Amino acid sequence: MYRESMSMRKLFAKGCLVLAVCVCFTGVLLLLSAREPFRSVIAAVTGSEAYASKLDASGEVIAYIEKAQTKDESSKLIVGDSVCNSLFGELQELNPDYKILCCNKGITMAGQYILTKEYLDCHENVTDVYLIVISNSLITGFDTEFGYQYAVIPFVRTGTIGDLEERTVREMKSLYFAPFLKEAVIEYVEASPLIKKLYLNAEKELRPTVLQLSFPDVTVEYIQKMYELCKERNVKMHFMAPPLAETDERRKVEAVLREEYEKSPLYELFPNYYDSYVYYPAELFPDGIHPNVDRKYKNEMIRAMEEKMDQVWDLRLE
Amino acid sequence: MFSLSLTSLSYIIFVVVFVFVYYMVHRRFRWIVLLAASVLFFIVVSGAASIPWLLLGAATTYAGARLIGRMKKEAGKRAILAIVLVLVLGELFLLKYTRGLPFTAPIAVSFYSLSILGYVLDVYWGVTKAEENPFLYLLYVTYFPQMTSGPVTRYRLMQPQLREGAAFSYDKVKNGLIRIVYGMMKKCVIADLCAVMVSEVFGDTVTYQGAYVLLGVMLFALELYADFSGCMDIVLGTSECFGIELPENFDIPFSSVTMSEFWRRWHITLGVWFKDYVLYPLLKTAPFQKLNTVCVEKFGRKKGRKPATYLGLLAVWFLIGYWHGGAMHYVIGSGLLHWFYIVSGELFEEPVKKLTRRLHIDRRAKGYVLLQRLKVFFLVCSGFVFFRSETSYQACKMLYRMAVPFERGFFTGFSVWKLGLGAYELCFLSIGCAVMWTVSGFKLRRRDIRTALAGQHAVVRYAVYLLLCALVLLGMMRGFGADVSYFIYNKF
Amino acid sequence: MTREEVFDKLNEIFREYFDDEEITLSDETTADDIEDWDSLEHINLIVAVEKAFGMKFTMGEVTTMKNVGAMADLILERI
Repeated sequence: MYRESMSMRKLFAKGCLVLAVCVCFTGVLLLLSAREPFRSVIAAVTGSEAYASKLDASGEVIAYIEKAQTKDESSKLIVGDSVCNSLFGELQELNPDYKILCCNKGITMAGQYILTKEYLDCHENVTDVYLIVISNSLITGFDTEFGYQYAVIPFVRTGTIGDLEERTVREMKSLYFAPFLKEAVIEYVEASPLIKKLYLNAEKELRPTVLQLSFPDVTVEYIQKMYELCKERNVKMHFMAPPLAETDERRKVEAVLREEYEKSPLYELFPNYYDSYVYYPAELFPDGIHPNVDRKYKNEMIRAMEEKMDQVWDLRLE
Repeated sequence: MFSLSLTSLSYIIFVVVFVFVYYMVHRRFRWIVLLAASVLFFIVVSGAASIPWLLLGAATTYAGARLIGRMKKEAGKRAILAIVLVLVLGELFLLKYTRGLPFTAPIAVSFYSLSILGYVLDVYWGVTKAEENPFLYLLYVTYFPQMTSGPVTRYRLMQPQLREGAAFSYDKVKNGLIRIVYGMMKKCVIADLCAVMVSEVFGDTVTYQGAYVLLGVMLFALELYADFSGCMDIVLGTSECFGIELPENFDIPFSSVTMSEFWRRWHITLGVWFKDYVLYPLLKTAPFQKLNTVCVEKFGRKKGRKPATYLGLLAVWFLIGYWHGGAMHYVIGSGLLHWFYIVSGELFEEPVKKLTRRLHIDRRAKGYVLLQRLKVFFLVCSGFVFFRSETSYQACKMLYRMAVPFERGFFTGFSVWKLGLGAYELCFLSIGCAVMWTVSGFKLRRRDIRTALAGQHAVVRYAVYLLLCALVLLGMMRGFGADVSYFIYNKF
Repeated sequence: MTREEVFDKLNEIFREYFDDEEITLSDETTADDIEDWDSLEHINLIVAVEKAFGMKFTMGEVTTMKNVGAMADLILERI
């Protein structure tokens, strides 16, 4: 019995030693994975190259925030999601009096608020702010799919995370782990494809994103904040939806969400958001969400939105 | 939320925790720890919904065996055996070979069904006594290391080991752990990297012709071997940690010089099972014996004994093929084709012997042995083409494309770089292969590499362990979250 | 029949079966020792032995028989 426990101890000690060596190895590997020339070797061997080349999500959002902060003669702002972008994205050059910053749903409504706030802080004589999103974007809160790259990294890197409420930052910290909101850590994550891959996948495994047919706090809170901000600065805020695909599935989802919406405080501020919905034949939307039509048809869609909302934009469409 | 796949970090933690608990409790109760671990493992891996099916199979064979044990009359025993066979095979057939079931089938039903059928037959034949303790029997059925993919075990060899529990042995636990890590290396370095290239070749039937297809098939053989034998290393290593010896399933199969030898070295326990429980009983039946007598009278003693045996083998290989998956390409690729090769090998054995004697070829010369091994390797590969393809038609097309564009592509103008792996990855793969090659070399000389290693200086020893761990860690990181598109928000 | 007699008779059967006059069986003889005694010949050999002694092995005995000595013991039990 004594001998048995002695050899058990020996095994345990050696096991710990091997474990410690493995941990050190992993640590060194992770550190080196952010530095050339090791970076590309390690990325190749660990199959994480795609995380370096294909994923520049944060850079994309940072560019939008910087555009919002760039002062020009525009007096109207359009913010929205990728559906909005497919309609309005190309119109920027024709419309210098508009600032068109349609990003995607990944930045959440907190991101839309940041864009608005940064824009208003840098521009005078602003008259209108348009928030144009479909309900898919409204039900997207901070998640482990897009949230870290499309929201956390750009917000921290541009310093605009300071625009958000304390409560929101706490929520982000608990979801993404506090250290990963630190600039130094983010730099490592961005520099090392391996760390990015491990972190994003670990997050996804630990907290899988569950799609829910309701509006997260961040949506309700930050649309309200946008409203208040605009009111304070004497700017008129409009909230509407881009075109939608006519499918049974879509109709069902919207029926549920409309009910949700009417119960939320947003209904008081923007009672006609759901009246702005215009449905088009499903075959125009290859992925069910984004319209794939020519410019002329897109312009017709914009006109239809105007009609629905009973207002006339002075947007130049061609 | 967490998986217990054999190459995951959670599996190692699971094993370490239960090894610890196992040796902490009194030896009399150690089997209960294993049962708890096994049931937990089954629930995580297969889902609680499939438990009733597992219990049904276990209960049927448990009760059937006990009844057979008590029966005095042969007819009664036979009736019960028939009922049990129908029920277990029926369950297997329903769960494994029927599509679109409205419920979850337990994983590994095809493996444990063999084990429990063997048990009932053993009881019927009087080789082993019926187990009285239902929980101990349940442990035999669910014993977690071997549950998912074999080896197919025998009750009379497992029961005493499981019941007694093992005394702690430093070497056994250490060697078990090393073997687990080695198995993981095979799976997540060699098999996973080969899989990239294999899917590339098998997935694009337009681009890849000639030499590419050949290379793809050879890589698939490597992938399959590394995957399956690596899995067995993990399984046997785990069991070794608990001091329980499982039968080996692989014995350097690609060193075989004949097809029948290959099947004595590849998936050994499956072959032995079919031999003992299907082939022998079949050959002993009256019709086969009758055929034998007739043939012996007609063709003489030596040759006359063959037809009945070959016919029996045909039935067995059909079943082995069918067992692999039910579809026709399994029946051909893992069954009938091998029957054909083995029987041809038998038939040509004498003529080839005579020929080599006349040509003064030394059958034990290295060159000749190598040639034989290559022959076996390529024959086996031809079977794997069917195994890997989705249909027999696709397999035939693959084989056709391998040979037909003879003028271009075959051994010329081809580049490995097109197969989806970069230079660094190929280096990584080569290191893994070199390790496997070295270990196989030791095995071929019937030396245990772990004993050889234990005689080395501590620095060398730990360098080897670290290399192994480093390869596994890198491989695991590679395997973790392979799909990048998940994180890209698709713009339009 | 004594054990020796059983062995003599087995020897005769084996020599005839494998066409090899040099076979001499001992307790420890296994399939590995006789070139043509492979798993495919096993059953036919068993049947030949059964016929010669006028007895039957059970299937379990067929698959668990370790060597010729074990075979002889089983035969002695039966006749």
